[in-house]
Amino acid sequence: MSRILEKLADQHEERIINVLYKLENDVVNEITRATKGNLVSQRLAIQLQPRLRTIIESTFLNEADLLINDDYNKIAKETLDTFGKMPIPAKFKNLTDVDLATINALKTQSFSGFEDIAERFLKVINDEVYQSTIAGRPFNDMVSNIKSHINGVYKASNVSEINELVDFVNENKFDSAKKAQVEDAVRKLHTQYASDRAGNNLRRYASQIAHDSVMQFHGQFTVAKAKASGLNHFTYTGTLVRDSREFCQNMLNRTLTEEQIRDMWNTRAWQGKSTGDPFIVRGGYRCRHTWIPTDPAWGEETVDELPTEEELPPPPTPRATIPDVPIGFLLNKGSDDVKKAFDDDFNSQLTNQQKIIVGKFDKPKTIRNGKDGHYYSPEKRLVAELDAKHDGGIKSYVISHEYGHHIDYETSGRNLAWSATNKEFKQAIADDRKAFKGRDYSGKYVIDKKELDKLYDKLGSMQTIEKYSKVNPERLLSSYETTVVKADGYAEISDIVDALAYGKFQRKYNTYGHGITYYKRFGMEQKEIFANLFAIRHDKKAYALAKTIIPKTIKEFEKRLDELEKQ
Amino acid sequence: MAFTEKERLEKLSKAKTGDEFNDLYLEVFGEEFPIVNLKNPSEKMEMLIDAIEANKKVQGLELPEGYNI
Repeated sequence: MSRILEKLADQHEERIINVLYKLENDVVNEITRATKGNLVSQRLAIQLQPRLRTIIESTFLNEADLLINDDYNKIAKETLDTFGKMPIPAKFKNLTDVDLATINALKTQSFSGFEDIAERFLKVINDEVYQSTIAGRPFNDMVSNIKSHINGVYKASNVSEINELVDFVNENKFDSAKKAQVEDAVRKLHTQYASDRAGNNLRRYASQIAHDSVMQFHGQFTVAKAKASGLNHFTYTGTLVRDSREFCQNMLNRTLTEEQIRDMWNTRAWQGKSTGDPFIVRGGYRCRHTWIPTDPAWGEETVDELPTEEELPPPPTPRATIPDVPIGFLLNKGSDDVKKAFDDDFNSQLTNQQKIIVGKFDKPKTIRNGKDGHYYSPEKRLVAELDAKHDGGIKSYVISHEYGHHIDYETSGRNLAWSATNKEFKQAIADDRKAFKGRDYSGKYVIDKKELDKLYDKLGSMQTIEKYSKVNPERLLSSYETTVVKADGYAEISDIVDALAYGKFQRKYNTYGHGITYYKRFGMEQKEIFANLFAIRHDKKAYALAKTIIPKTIKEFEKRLDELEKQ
Repeated sequence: MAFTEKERLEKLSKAKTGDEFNDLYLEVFGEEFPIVNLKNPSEKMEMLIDAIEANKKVQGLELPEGYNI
C-alpha cells in the first residue's frame, strides 16, 4: 500500500489505542464515584448504564468520528491521485458528485463498524457490573475485570513492571526497528502476567477495526471508481513484511480480471481469509495490500494466470518450534563464543523444516570460518564466513548456501548432487527459463535482454565507484558500475537469474552471480539454484520474489524438501 | 594483439558497465575473466581493473570436480 495509506492505518490504530486508556480511566472513575469503592447494588448497576454509555460515546466513538471525518478525505484523495496518473479520460480522474455521495456513504458505514463494537463492549461492561452485584464480587475484582474487558493485558496496573512493559509496547508498536523488543514485551505480558489475560477485549477489536477501516474504505472507493471508469483488471499491490500471509505473497503484483478474482474468492480458502468482498477485505484482517485497477491495453501489465490450487497456501499445520541444530562444534578453530555465534547465524538462516532435514543427515566432516566460501563434496568440507555481509550491508546467507550444497550431495545417495541429476528439477529450470521471452539458439534458450533488464530492476540498483591505481594512488583508472541489491536474499536471487542466463547476468550488470566460466561446467546451474533456494527458504520476502521468477523450480524444490523431511 | 600501457589505461577510463570491462579483459588477455571466489561484484571488478592496468591476467581458481562456490 502507499506510504500515506500505511501511515494513516498505523496512526488511526495508535489514536484508538490511546483513547481506550482514557475510556478505561473514565469508566473506573465513574464506577468508583458512584459506589465509593463498595459493592455495587442492583439499582446502582442499572443507574450506571446510561452514564457508561455517555462515557463510551464521548471518548471512543468521538475519536472514531474525528478519525473518519478528518482523515478519510485524505484516503479518497490518495485514490484520486492514483487515478490521476492513469491514461484514462479526465472525467474519471476528478471528484464527481457521485464520488462525494459514495465517500459519505462509506464514512457512515465505517463509523457503524465502530458503533457496533462500542455497543458490544458496553453490554460486556454493563454485564460485568450487574453480575458483580449478583455474585457479590469484591469491588477491586470487578474493576480489574472491567479494565481487562477494555484493554486486556495492556490495562493500567498497580505492578510497575507491567506498566513499563505496556508503555514500551505502546510507544514502540509502530517502530519497525524495535519490532523484536516489542514482541518480547508482548510475550512477557502474555506469559509472565498470564493471570491478567482476557482474550477478547475492546482494544484487540478496536485497533484492528481502526486499521482495517482505512484499508477497506480505500478498497471500496477504489473499486467504485474503477467500475465507473470501465476498468476491470486489478493488480494486487503493496509490500511484503516478515509475517505476510502466503496468499499475499503469492498474489503480489499479479494482475487479474474482476471475474478471476471473484471466482478465486468463491472457490478457495487460505489461512487468515476473512468473509466479505475480495476487493474490500483482500488478504484478510490487517492485510496491508490493495487491488489497484489497471488495463493490459496500457502495455504495462499482462493478465496473469489464476494461481493454481497448489500455489495457494495449504491449510496451516501447526509446527512446534524446532530446536537449533549445532554445527559450530565442527569448526576447525575458534573460541566457544565463535562456535556459538556460528550456530546462531546458521540457524537464523533456516526454517523449521530445514532444521529437521539438517538434523536427519550426516553433517560435513569439517567446517571452516573463512571468506572463500565453498563446499567440496569429496572431502565433505564446508567453508563459510560468519556474519558475512554483501556490499551495502546486505546480509549474505553464505552458511546456508554452502550447507545447501552439502544437503544436495549428502542426500543423493551417490557422488553427484541430486539437483544435477534429477530430471524433474532440471526440466523445471528449463521450463522457467522458457517462460521468459527469448530465443532458441540450437537448443540453448537465451532470455531476451529486456527481460533481464526487468529482473535486474527488481533486484538491485547501480552504484558508480571510482577506482584508483594501487601503484599510483593519485591516478583515477576508471569509474565502474556495480550493483547494490535491494534486500537480504536478493544477491542469492541475482545468482539464480545468473544461472538462468548462463552467467551473462553477472557479466552484463556486474551483479551477484557465478559468471560465464563457472556456469559452463556440468550441473552448476542446477546446483547453484538449489543452494540459493536453500539459502533463502527462510526469508519470506526474497523467497516470494524468487517464486515469481522460477515458480516451477520452486515447486520441485519444495517437493524435495518434503521428501527429505519424511525420510 | 598486445596493447601498450597507454592504450590499456585509455580503454579502462572509457569502460563503465560490467560487459564493457569484461569485453576489455577478453580483448587484452584473449580469454574470459576466470572463476574467482569473491563475495561481491565490486571486489571482482577491482581485481579485473588491477589486472588490466598491470597487464597481468588473473590466476583463476582451478576447480576440481565436486568443488562448489
